[in-house]
Amino acid sequence: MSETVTFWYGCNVVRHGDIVRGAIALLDAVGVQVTPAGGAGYCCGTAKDANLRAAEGMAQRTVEKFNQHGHGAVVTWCPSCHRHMNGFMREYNDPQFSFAHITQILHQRRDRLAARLTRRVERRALLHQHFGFHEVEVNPLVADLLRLVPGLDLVLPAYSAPGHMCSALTPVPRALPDATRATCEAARAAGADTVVTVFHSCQRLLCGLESSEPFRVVNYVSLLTESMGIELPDEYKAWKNAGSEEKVIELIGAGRMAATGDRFFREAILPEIMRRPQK
Amino acid sequence: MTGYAPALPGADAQNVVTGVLGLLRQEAGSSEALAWIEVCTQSGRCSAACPEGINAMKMMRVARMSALGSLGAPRQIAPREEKGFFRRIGAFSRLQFSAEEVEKWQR
Repeated sequence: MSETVTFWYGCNVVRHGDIVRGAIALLDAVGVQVTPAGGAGYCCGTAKDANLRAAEGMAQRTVEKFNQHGHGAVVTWCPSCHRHMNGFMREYNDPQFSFAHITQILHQRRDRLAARLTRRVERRALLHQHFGFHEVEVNPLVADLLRLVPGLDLVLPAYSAPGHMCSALTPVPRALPDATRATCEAARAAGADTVVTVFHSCQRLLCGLESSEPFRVVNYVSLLTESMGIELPDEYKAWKNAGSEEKVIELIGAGRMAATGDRFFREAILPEIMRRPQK
Repeated sequence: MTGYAPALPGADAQNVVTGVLGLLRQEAGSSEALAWIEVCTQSGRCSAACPEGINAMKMMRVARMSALGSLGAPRQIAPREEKGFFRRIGAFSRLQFSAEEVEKWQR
């Protein structure tokens, strides 16, 4: 793995700029410089199983861009992108790079990371796990990373949710509410004050629980950066728990709302933010 | 995940898989095969359990592509694509990232 890599963070994580910036800070802390790449312009195409021509075009474009970066290495964040690269993209393109998941890179260099984790984070934290990202055993890797945080009391529950992350469950009726309820029950049983998510869609779909449950929902990247002394507010979570449309609009501000298009914001963004987790 | 598909509990496993193989041949899928495909989250447990080392997860994904009508056969299940997905991604990018970050990182 070269010292400068493409950090491919994916599409849906753009709801969490704090996770993207935190991940970049963590990679920097272990000596990996990055060219960040994500958003719609770097879509892997995995969402386009119903239109393989579109999927192929997206995959080809993204692989070509990574080849142009010329780093010879891509570090992935999103398990869907990682899986699609592993199973499809590299098979009908000509990738001139190796790729690895960010948890693997941080874990390989955890000695360097440990030296930077100087601030105590006094929490009893339950790891929200899924068993479906079989390409990379992320749960033990993340658990090892979290054990480096001074003051953190990590709880590994017996329960693992299906799928590779929570968004995988949304098309299956009852599946996501079941997983959410099981996570809440595990957290309460463990006396955890924090539920730690591994992936962005879990953070997106669970963070609204803070309004009704006695625990915080925090991505592992945020706990690691907090221990490094870097505070990166989770704005999406703040919006999600704001309590009213008026408060959400106040937090986001007229300027940013206008940048998304006022009508689109009210028709598509605001309803998502106001939607409560089902359990 | 099969517990989430009412058609599957009690179904004959060989018949379910035969239906999936039919989809790979661009044939009409059985209701049980389609039910399995609809609830599959690609956990890969089927691949891990296969004594022959077959990538059953990938078979399921390709069968799903077939059922979606992507490989030439008629569409047999509804696509899961989120309406306005890319527009939503663009909007959240503008909410969370500076114009410079969007330009440098996402173009």
